[in-house]
Amino acid sequence: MTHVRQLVVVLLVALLVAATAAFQPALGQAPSIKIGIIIPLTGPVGVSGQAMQKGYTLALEEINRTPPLGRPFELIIEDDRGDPPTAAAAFLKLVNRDRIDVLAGGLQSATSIAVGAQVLQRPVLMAWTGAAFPGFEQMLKDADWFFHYHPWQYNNADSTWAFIQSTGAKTASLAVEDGPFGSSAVVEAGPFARRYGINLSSSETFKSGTPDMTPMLTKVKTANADVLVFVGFDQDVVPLATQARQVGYSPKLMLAAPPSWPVGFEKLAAGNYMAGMALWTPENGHPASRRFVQRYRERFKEEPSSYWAPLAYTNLITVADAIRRAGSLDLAAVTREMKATAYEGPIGIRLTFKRSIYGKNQGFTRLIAFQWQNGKQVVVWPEEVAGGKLIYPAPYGR
Amino acid sequence: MVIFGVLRSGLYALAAVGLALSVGVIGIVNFAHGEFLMLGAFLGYWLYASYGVDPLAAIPFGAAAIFVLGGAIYRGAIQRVLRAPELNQMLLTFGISIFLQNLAVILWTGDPRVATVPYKATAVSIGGFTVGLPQLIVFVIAMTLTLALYAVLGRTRIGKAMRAVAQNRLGAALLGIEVERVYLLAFGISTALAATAGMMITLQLSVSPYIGLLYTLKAFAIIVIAGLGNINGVIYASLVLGLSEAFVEFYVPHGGGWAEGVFFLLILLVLIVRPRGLFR
Repeated sequence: MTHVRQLVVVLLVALLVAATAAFQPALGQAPSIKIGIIIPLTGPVGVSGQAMQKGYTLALEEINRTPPLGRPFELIIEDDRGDPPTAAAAFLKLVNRDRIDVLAGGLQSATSIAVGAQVLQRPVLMAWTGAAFPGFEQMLKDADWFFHYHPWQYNNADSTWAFIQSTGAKTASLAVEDGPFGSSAVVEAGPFARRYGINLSSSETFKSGTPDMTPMLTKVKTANADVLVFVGFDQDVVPLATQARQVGYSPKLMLAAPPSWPVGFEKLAAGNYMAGMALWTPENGHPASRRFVQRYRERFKEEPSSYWAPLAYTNLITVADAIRRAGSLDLAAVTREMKATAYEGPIGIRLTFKRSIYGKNQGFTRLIAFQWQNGKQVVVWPEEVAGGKLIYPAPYGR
Repeated sequence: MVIFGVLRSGLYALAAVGLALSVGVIGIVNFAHGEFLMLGAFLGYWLYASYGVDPLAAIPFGAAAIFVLGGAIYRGAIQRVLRAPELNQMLLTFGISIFLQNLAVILWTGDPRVATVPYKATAVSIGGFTVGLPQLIVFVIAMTLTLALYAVLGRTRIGKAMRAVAQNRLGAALLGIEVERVYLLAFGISTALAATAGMMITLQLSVSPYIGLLYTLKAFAIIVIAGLGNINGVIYASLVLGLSEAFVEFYVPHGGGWAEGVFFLLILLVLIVRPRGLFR
């Protein structure tokens, strides 16, 4: 009996040793650095969120070749569906269950506010790409650990009116959709137009998605301003371009800044010479941008269509760099190194974090202007990143 | 402004007349009506983008395809709730609406897409007035189809059968009319008309999975103004809506934001002052 017991003990020990040996590689692996990402992968802005996911994938592959602190990055991506309560719940899951080290991502202002309210109660390094609404900035004004990449609305307005001034235009008409996107543009247009010496001739509103803009365009035409500044969404730029021609409205420049442009807009003859504002376009001539576009094409067999992909890439790469420099995941140390960021990546503009009107760490503050020229978004402003000349006055229908 | 208002009323009439048929004949309020319009618009877009087929030439194919789809949805779902409480019917069609919209997002993403037909921005001069060619084409086709539907309802056997079923389902059945077949046909025609309106939208605007709701709302406004189930009043109600929107947009400062409020105000007024509709 004693021999049997000894045999069983020996077998158990042998099994334990074998099991330990089998699991040795797993035990030997360093624990991952968990990055929680909240973005909309479905819903009305799901396309932008999916572009971000691709940007993160490219960045992750690059980072994990030489992982910071010898620990691979692990992305835990949550779909907020563009819904604020879902976004808030996603953060609670990431912080309580997944025990993330860094929070990244973000796209819309409403979901960002929902997440921000939760992060204030459970601070974590927040490297945030989304939201242009300054109310979100005010909400997190005292947060040293909050790093915001996307320009704020007032940055967008500043770039827009600076670009208009650079064209030599003296007057402008404003046509805005009647939601929060348009109404904030109206509030900012007056002061910024004055700052850049542009006379605001008229201001009109329209309902986004309206099939018929002809009455509004007929009214705007009577103001006879040099530039039309159009603040609407993707679906609104098609009736703008086509119906402006139909009513014979041809200002010197039509400038629109929808969050993204409809698929096929590049083939729309009436859209030729329309200008737009963006953080980045695929035609950006910066070498890092070209490399990014090339890698994106090879990896996903498609063209990057919006700035969200390079912005997400920039987001993750800069977090990895800061952790690498900090040498630990200590919040104060990583925050300090994030503040020291100076990164020239695919966006084509050097990223540093500086104080903004309310916030402590603001990244990008300037948009670029492009003009649709024969199906291409040719960057025309500012000069240092321009890939072509602005055609002004634009020959709309002339 | 009169011309702009009249032109936009054509598309409104076509979007609404199918819904009026569904409400008038079958007695079901179809919240998914706009989604059939959206599917028609995507059909128009894909036929143009993939094979270069002009959306106008594709109308017969698109209308037939959505007719079959509408018939299948009627057989598979709508038919089963015809005798259920109205709330169940509404919830079902609301569910179909959400399903179709999300299906479109999964299949084609939420991106708006443009069918770049060569005459999209073309204008023509008629009697000293300049109007958009696509709007003019859409108006002519929409009014022709709407008037053709009136003729079918007024002069053909099947049209008279539909009217009979609309007036008294039991009485029509006693006279030997196959009520279920009439319902199936009416629902199929209703969805085919919505799809036709959608295909014509591709001539003027971009197409996305979210365009349906706007037209469902406008169609509801029109059938309420016309009088629920009053198919003949749809053209007049569409003119009222189109003209009032155009005038508000042009003459009221920042009127673009007010224009959509106009039709809700009209619904309120009609429901309070003349609940049976302005044109009944």
